[in-house]
Amino acid sequence: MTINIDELRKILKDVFRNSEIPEDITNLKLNDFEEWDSLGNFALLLAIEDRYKIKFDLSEMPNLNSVASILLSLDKRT
Amino acid sequence: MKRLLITCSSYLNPRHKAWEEMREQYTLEFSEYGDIHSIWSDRNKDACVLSIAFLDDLLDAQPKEESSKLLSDCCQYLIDNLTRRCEKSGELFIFGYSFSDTFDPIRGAKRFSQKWKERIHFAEALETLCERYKSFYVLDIDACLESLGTERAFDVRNWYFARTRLSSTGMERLVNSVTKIANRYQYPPRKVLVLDCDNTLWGGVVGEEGLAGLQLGTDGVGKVFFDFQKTLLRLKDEGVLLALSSKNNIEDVWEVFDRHDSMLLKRKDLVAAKVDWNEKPKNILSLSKELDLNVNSFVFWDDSPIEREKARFAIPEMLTVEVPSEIHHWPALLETMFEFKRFYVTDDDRQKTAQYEARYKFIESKNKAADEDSFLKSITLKGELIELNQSNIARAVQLCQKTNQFNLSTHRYAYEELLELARHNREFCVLARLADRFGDHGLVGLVCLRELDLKTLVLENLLLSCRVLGRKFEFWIMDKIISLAIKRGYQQLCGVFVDSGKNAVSRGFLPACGFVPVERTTESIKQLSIHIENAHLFLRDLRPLDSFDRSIYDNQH
Repeated sequence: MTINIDELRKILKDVFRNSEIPEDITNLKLNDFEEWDSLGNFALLLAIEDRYKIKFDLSEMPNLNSVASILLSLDKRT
Repeated sequence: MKRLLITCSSYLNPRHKAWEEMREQYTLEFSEYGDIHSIWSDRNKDACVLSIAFLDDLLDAQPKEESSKLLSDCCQYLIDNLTRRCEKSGELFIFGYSFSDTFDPIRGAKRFSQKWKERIHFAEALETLCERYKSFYVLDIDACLESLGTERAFDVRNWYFARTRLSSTGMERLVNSVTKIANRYQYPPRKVLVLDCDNTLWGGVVGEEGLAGLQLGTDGVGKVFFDFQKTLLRLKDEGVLLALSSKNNIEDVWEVFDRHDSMLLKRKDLVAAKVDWNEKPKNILSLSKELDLNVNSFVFWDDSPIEREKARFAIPEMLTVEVPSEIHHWPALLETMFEFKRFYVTDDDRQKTAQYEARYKFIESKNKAADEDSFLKSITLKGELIELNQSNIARAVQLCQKTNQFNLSTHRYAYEELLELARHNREFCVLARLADRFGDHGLVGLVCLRELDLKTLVLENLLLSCRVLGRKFEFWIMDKIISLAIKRGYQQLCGVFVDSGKNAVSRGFLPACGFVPVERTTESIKQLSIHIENAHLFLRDLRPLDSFDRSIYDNQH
């Protein structure tokens, strides 16, 4: 499935409400700012699941910790 | 904004979007993961608390042996700590709990599970806490999530990944329910439901199809309207006032009410009816005046999208329900409407319709009457002063808490304070009862007096329920206070008016009785006094007192 990057940026903004999200998010990853810690990462994945009506597998979740890896995982889905 | 401390036995995602509404009312502070009760301590007694306990989390931390004993110990531990917190703090406390029992058809076929039994004990203990502590509320999480289904509401993957029990959907449902409790704790439910008639109370248009052509009864679509009316009656019994706003000939509408066999709703169930050809918003606004209830406590239910649009535009504070066009959803929608829900229903709630109907009829007749004094004389007012006793002190305390408009000092007397006044002198704390042609209004006023010195009596407070305003009853009560002062040999009566921002109605009362401001008094706290002799003369000249039946009080004293 193809993902609109602006939409993903909006999800980041909603989840990390107290942080400044840069225009270009493609290189963002876990621990880039304080709110994006491991629990922040979990909240982000759940928000993405809610938005796209998908479910990540437990085994892949630890590796989904950057915009790039998330995009790659979404890209593989039909 | 108040602080709301949030704790959970496992992880509760603070970044879920469902918290938004709660953030508008409270500053949310999430505790450390898994620490459910250390914040219940004294140092947080000024903060509100939301605590969520998944019993499985508490068991998970323990070894497997003796799990049945462990569960009951856990429950007892929670109850003990909750009790301790409630005793120390009167702030809002919402406690959610889940036993999330797994269903096993084989084992369950022969006996009930340990969890099931423990859950019943626990619920009983919680209910006792609810009764004892006014600001303690519970949320049965399993019941809250039931309509979603366990499989959708819980998510074992989330448990293994982040130690959180619920799915995103389950989380949303849980937070929404908690928000409703917190919301109702702060704001009262809506009071009035304004209903259309044709195609709302019954199917069809009575003016065209006539009585026989209406759909209302025990079959088909008629049954939907029948059930809708049944729900309306249930709401009415819980204290919601029902009123009509319909464009119709009033005779046609009353014909249905009086003569249709399946009409459950009767005229007596309505607090008022505006049935004419005026625009509805205009009628609803005048209804709000006549009932003396703000339109922001009104809900409007009408099948016509045009009427709804007009109402929404003209009265945005009123809730206009966007009713579904498939009417079979109506009974359930009305039944579950959060806007009317209250934590519990009191006897006072059950009598709301009769009370407000009396008030509505009073104002209607008063507006029609040519002059006020002869109108008041015509309605046979009967006043009575009653000493404080065990059977009426709860009502006295309630009056102190609820009365805002006619309340000279707005001092919210507690039980003990009132007893203290009465203990000093039985005549110093009395309730006022009023009846007239429109009904027995019950105990609607309270007088609190205190002796300053042998010559001076102080009127600490006088309050009167807004339901009976406009009858000059306050002057009658003042007359009685003066009589008492004369009989007991006082020479001076002092009074006080404290501006509460809501009691403008009573600002002019003491001056109207001839009281004059004493030196160094301020605008917001006005101290006034009057010589008893003057007061006596002054009140004798106030003719409206003639409208009261005087005998009752005079026999008493």
